Amino acid sequence: MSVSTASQRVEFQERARQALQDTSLQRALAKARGGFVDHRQDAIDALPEFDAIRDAARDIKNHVLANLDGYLELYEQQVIENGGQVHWARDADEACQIVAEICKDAGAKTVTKGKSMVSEEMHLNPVLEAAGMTVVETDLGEYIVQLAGETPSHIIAPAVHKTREQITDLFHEHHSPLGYTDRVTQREALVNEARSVLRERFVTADVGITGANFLVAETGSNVIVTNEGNGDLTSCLPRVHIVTAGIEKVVPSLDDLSVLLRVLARSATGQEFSAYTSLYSGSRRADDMEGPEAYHVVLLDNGRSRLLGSQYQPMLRCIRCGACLNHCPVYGSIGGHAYGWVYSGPMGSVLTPLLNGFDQSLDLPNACTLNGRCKEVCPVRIPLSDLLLKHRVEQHDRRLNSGFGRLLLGVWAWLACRPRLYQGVMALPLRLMHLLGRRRGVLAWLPGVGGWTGSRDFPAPARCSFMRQWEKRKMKS
Amino acid sequence: MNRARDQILGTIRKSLAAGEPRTLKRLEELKSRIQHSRPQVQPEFDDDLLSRFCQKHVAVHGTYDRITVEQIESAVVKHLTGMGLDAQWHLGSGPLLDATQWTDSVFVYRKGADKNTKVALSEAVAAVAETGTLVVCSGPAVPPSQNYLPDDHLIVVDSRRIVRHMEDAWAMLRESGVAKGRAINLITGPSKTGDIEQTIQYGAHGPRRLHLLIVEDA
Repeated sequence: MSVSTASQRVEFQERARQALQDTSLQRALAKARGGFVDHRQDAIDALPEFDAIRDAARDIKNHVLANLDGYLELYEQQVIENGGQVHWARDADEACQIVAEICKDAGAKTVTKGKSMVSEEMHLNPVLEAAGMTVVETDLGEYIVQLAGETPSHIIAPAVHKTREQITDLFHEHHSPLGYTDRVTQREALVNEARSVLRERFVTADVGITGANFLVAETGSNVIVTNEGNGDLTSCLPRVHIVTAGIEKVVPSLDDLSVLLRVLARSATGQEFSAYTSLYSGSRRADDMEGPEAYHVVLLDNGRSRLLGSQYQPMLRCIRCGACLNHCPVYGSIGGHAYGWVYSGPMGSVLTPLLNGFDQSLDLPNACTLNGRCKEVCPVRIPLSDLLLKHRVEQHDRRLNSGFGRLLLGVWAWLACRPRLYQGVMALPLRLMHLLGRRRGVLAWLPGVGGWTGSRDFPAPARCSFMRQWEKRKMKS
Repeated sequence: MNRARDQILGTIRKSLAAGEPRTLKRLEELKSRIQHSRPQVQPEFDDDLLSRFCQKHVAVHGTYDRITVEQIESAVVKHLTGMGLDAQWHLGSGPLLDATQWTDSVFVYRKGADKNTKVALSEAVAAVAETGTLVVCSGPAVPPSQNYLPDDHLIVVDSRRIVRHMEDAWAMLRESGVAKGRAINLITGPSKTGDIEQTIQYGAHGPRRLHLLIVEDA
């Protein structure tokens, strides 16, 4: 194990430990936990066709991935026909450079952003700020975490970790210089204050950057789904509109889009449909009275193309709804920041090592109880917990897991391949564990695996092994 | 930049090499799949379209009046007066709105909304009963800012344009060619956010209220 992987390991465990001790975070997580899950369940109970639609959604995504090169070309042609430009970026740095160049060429001073996880993945904001631009996140949740100098802790609820008291403090600190000197504490007043502050930003921005929930090959459109309308104000008002999107976001037709939209909002927030779903195609038309003069799409690869054809390809079906986060007991206990990168929860634990390198996030695939709820709720049926297992196998095959763990597994495997010896060696410890655990039925501590028993009890084994019992029974009969 | 494009497409093709051959014929097949795209599995419901649409619209915090074509102006004025607002608004465009002769007692602005815009009146190209969604398409006289900047958004919709599923709206757009504009905006209720303690607040960045005028005799 290299030094960097050792430090990574400590970082995750340390972050998780801090998260568990952070009372504000725990309060915020407790408040959020039930809501998303219950709302999703209600929405699904009201739609008997949900599972059939999920199958269709999975099949569409599979079809696109199997023909991704073709659909990207068709999409690109259509964007150009609409008067837009498509830029291809191999990695995050290249994508940042492309966006920064477009902004500089436009003479941009202020840039508004609709929520874009890909721009988070790119770490775009610091790049634009270094070039002298003011970058303003406009999704209320993203705006809150931007004021706090943090990153989103949830794909669709970026500020889920913030309590109202913390938001009150942030707004008071950052809005007072703008003339909002009253300290507002009520939810409605907080929303109104942000609306008023951000409205000024919307109408003065030179460039608007949004993400894309989907890209439609049929029309060459980027689709954005919001409840606030911030994505639309970002798309419509500035002189230049830039879309940042992963290459896997393309869907063939509007009919395919409908299938995916039917599972997206239900899985994310439990809504049947979000308030605003918009398709933007190219720049303003010649006779339009408003709209951006230029429309750019930056398609980001950043390791995605390599996943095609691999055992992790199903991960590219992900539509970033956040359902797996909402149903994950680990995410529910530690929140998103402990995962260390933009994507958190089960989908983050699968994706982060794939995009950032296996040795960069060794703990993530292991921070999972394999309860399988993520896989159960995924709207495009990504077998998330199975993919996490594949990660663990790959860590072992690449010798990335801990020496002690490998040693234990090695010894066990060696023994297990020799049944006679195995039974002989195991008989005594099993007997001992049986005696020690006889009274309570469980063992609270075992030598060598204190980490495991620290938070769990080990069930006490039977007096002798299953094989022995079987033999005895056979002899009796 | 073209190198990046070639490299990305090249990696995709290499990764998928085990799959189907990457030929021009294949590209034509994909194109044909798009051209012959058809609705797939859809939620089924029996209710008549108008009542289903109204029910879904109310469920997302919208309000509505059912009116006749002559009542468009008076219904707008009545709604605004009821809210204590003046009879002036930013005006979009569509068959119903274009045919309306506005009287001297109201004032309409035929331009994009700005940060102080109180009211906009739009016309929906289609409405989807499945979800209570309005479809507004941008055009020379339909600036999308009218959908997002006002406090109050009023939308006129011809009841004959209420369709069952989203895909029926796409079919209408394809047929009429109206989808060739820059923006297709699907609107389902007023603007809202759950970003503060996961509790819904209306009027996040967009309209605080959404009111429909459903015209039944157009």
